Amino acid sequence: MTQQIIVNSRAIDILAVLMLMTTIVLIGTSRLRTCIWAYACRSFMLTLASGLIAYFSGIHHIYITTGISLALKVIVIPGFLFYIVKKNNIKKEVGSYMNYTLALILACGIILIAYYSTQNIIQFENIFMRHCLPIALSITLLGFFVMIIRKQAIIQIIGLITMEDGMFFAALSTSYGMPLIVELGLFFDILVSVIIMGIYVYRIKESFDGIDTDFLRDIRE
Amino acid sequence: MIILLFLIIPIITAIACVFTKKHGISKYISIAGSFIALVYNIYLNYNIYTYKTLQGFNNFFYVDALTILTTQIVTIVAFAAALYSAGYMETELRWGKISEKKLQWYYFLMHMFIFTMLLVCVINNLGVMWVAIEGTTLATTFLVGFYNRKQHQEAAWKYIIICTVGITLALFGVILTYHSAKGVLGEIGYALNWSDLRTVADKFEPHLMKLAFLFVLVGYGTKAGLAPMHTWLPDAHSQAPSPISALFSGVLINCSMYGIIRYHILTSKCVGSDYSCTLLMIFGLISVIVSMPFILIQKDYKRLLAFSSVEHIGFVALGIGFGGMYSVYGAELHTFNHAVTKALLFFCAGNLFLKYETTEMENIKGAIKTLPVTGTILAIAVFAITGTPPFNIFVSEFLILADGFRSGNLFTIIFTCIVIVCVTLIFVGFIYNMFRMIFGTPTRDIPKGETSKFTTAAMLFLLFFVLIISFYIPPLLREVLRNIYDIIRNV
Amino acid sequence: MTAEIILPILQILVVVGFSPLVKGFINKIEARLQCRRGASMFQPYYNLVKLFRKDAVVSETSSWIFRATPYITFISVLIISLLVPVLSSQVPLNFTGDIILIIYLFALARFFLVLTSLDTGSAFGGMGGSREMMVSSMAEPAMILSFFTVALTVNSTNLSNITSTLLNNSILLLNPSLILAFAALTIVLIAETGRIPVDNPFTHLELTMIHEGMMLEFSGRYLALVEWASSMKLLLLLTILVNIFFPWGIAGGLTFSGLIIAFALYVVKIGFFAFLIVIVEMSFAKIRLFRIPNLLGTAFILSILAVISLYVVR
Repeated sequence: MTQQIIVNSRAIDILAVLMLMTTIVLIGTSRLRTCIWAYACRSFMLTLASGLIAYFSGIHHIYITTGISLALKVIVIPGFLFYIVKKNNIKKEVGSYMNYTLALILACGIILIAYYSTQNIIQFENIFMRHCLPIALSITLLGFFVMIIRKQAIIQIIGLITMEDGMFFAALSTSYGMPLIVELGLFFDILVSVIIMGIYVYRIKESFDGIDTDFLRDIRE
Repeated sequence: MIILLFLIIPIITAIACVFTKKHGISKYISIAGSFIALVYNIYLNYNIYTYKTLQGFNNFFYVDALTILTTQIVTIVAFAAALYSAGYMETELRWGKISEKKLQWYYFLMHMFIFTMLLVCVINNLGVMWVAIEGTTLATTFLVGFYNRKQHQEAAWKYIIICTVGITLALFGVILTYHSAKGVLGEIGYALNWSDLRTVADKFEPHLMKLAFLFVLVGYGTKAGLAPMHTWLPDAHSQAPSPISALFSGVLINCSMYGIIRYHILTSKCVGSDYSCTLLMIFGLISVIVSMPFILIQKDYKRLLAFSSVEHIGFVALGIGFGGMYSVYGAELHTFNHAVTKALLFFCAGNLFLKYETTEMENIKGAIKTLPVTGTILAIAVFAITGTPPFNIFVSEFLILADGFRSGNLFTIIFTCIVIVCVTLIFVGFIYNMFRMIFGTPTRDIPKGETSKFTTAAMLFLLFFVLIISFYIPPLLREVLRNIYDIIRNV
Repeated sequence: MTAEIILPILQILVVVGFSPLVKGFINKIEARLQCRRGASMFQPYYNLVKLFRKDAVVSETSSWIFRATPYITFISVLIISLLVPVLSSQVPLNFTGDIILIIYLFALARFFLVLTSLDTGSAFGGMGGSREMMVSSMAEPAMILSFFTVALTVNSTNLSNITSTLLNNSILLLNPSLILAFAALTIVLIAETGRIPVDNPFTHLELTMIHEGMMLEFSGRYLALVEWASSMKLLLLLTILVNIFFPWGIAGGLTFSGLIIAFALYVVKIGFFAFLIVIVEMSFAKIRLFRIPNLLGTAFILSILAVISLYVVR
C-alpha cells in the first residue's frame, strides 16, 4: 500500500517536472509555433496529472474538471491561438528584450527561488507530492517572466495562460482542486479572457501594423 | 431569494438593452433598470438594519453591512452613470462618433459590468468572488477600448493584461486559503465560504494565511489601483467613455478593496491584525505618495482625476490599516464620499470633453462661461475632492488622519505626517490645474450652454450626496458604518 | 576466470562491431521515411573497408599530431567501451574508472581532434575546431551535472554500481530529478554526436560544418579510424543513456542465457533510441549556429535543476 502511494506521488511528480520542462522551452525558444505547442503539451500533462489525481484520490468531481481542461486547454485554446497566428499573418519569430541565455539563467534562478520559498510550506504540510507546489509556483512565475521579457502580444497571452496553468496545478496538488463551481468559473474566465485578448490582437494588428508590444508607448504621462 | 432578484435586475436590463434597436428607448430602459436596483438596494438596506445579515441559496449569498455599503455605492453611481450615459451618448450619436448598434453593446456591457460588481459583493464563496472580480475585468475591456482608436486599444490591452496577471496572483491566495481551510473544515464543498471561514479562521496555519493575504493584497490591489500596481489605471480611466470612467473610479476600485477587506478580516483573526494592517498601511502610503507628483505635473484632466483615484484608494487602505474606530469608520465613509465625488468630477470632465473636444488642460479656458452649471459644479467638486472643509471628503479624511495621530505609534504618526504633506501638495496641484480651466476667457468661440438635460440631472443627483454628507450623515448610513466597524474588528 | 576474459572480448565485439551498423541503421530509416531507398544498412562497413585499402594523404605542413590523433581517438573510445556496462552490469575495467573518467576520455579524444584541425593549417579545420569547442564547452557541464545527478541518486560514480542499483531498486528511477537529467543528457547526446538540430552529419557545406569540418583533412585509414571512433561514440553514449535510465533486461551476472536475453533487449533498446534520433532529425531543421547556445543552455539549466531539486526536496 505505501509502495503504491509512493509510486503514485512519484508519477505525478514526474508529470510536474515534464510540465516544468515545457515551460522552460517557452523561455528558450523564439518561435511562436513552438511556444503554442509547448503550451498545448503542458496542458496535456496537466490534464493527465489531474486525471491521475482523480483516480488516486477517488474524488469524482476532478474527473469533470479533467474533461473540461482537456477540451479547453489542450484543444480549444491552442487551436484558437494557431488560428489567430494564421489569420493575422503574424511573423514566426518573437523578439525579446533580453538575450536568451541570460533569460534561461534567470529562469533557473526563479525556479530555485520557488523551490526554496516553498520549503517552509512543504515541511509541515503532509503532502507527499513534494515537487508539485514548487513547480506550480515556478510555472506561474515563469509565465510572468515570459510576459515581461517578450515583445509580442501573443506571447503575453501564452504567458498569462501559463500562469493560470501554474495556479491550477497548485490547487490540484495541494488540495485536490478547488470546489467544482470555482473551477468552472475559472475555466469560463480563462476562455473569455483569451478570446477577448485574441480580438484585441486582431485590432492592434490592424491599427499598429504589427503586434510587438513596443506599441505600448503612445500614452505618456 | 431577495438577493437573487437583486442580481437579476442588471442582467435583465442588459439583455433588454441589446434587443432594443433605438437609443431613444434603450436609454430609458437602462435608467429604469438602474433606478430599480437603487431602490431595491435601499430596501435591502432596511433588511440589514433589522437582521444584520442575510443569507440565501444554501449560504451561496451572504450580505452584511460591508456588502450593503459597497452595493449601495455601486447602485448610486450606476444610476447616475446611466442617467449621464443617456445624455452623453446621445450627443456622441448625434455627431456620428458611434453607431446605434455599438450603443446597444455599450449598454449591455455597462449593465453586465454592474452585475459583476454586485456579484462580487453579495457572493459568499471566496473562489466565486475571485471569478466575479475577473469578470469585471472581462466585462469592461471592450468599454475601455470603446472608441477603438490607437490609444484606446493600447489602454485596453494594458488593462486586461495587467489586471488579469494581478488577479491570477490573487488566485494563489485563494488557493492557499482553501488549502488551510480544508485542514480545519474537512472535505466539503463550502470550505471557501467566507461566513464559515470567519468562525474558524483562528485555527488556520498562520504562515499560509500570511502568504495568502500578501498574494491577495497584491492581486486585488492591482485591480484596486494601489501603487505600485496602479500603472494600468490612469490609461484605462482616461481612455474609457466618461460614464464608464466614473464607474471605474467610483466603484470598481471599491469592489476590489472590498475583496481585500474580506481577507483582511480573516487574516487578522488568524495571525492578529498587525500583519495585514501594516501591509495595508504601507501600500496606502505608497499610493498617496506616488500619485502626488503625477497630479502636480499632469496635462490631461482625465488622467489627473485617475491619479487622484489612486490617492484616494490609498487613503481607504490607510484608514483600514490604522485599524482604529474612527479610521475604519472614516475609511468606509471615504469610499462612499470618494465614489460620489469622483463620479461627479468625471461627469464634469465628460461635459468639458464634449464641449471642447480635447483632454489637454491648457486648451480649455473659461469653462464657467461656456458651461455655467458644469463649471460651478466642477469648482465645488474640486474643493470637495481635495478635502477642503466643510465638504464630505474633509470629514472622512479627517477621521482617518485623526486616528493615525491617536494611535501613539511612532511609525503611524510619521506616516500620517507624510500623508498630510502629500494631501496639501495635491490640493495645490488640483486647484492650480483645475481653476485654470474653470476661469479665464474661452480661446475659441464656443457656443454657450449645457450638453443635455440628462447629464445635468446626473450631476445634480450626485451633488446632492456630496452636499448631504458634508453636513449630515443619515442615521441609516451611520448604523451601517458602525456595523462595518464591528465586522472588521470581528466582534 | 573465463568470465573475465569473455566479457571484455564480448563488449569490444559488440561496441566496435556494431557501431557502424547503428549509423547505417539510422541513415537507412531516415532514407525510408523520406521516401528514398537509401544506401544499404551495411554501407558504413563498406566505407571503412574501402578507406582502409586506400593510401592516406598527409599534409606536408602537419606534425606528428596529425598522424597520432586517429589512434588516440580510437583507443580512448575503445577504453570507454570497456568502462560502460553494455550487456552485463559488470564492467571489464571496473577497478580503474568511473563516470568521470569516461567524460575525460571523451574530452581527450576531442582535444586531439581539435589540435589536428589546427595542425594542418586549413581554414575549414580551424573553423570546425573552434565551433566544436564552443558546442562542447556548453554541452560538457550539462553532461557532467546530469551524470552527477545519477551518481547522487545511487551514491556511487561507478557505472557498474549505478546500473545494478537501479536495476535492483527500480523505484529510484521514478525520480523527477532523473527525468530532468535524462532530458539534459538527450540534448547533450545530440550535440556531442553532431546530429541534426546542432550539426548536420551529411553536409560538407563549409559554412555549416562543425564535426565534419575537423575531419576534412583526414584520408585513407586515418579517416576510417576517426569515422569509426565517432560512430562508436554515438553507440556508447546511447548505451550509457539506455542502461542507466532503462536498465531492465541487462544481465546481472554472466550466465550464457542471461547474456543472450540481455543482447536481444539491448538491440531492441538501441534500435528504439536510434529511431527516436531519426524522428528528431526528421522533425527539426538544423538550427543556426548562434541559436545552439539556447539549446545547450536549456540542457544546462535542466541539469542544474536536476541536481538542485535532488538536494532541495530531500
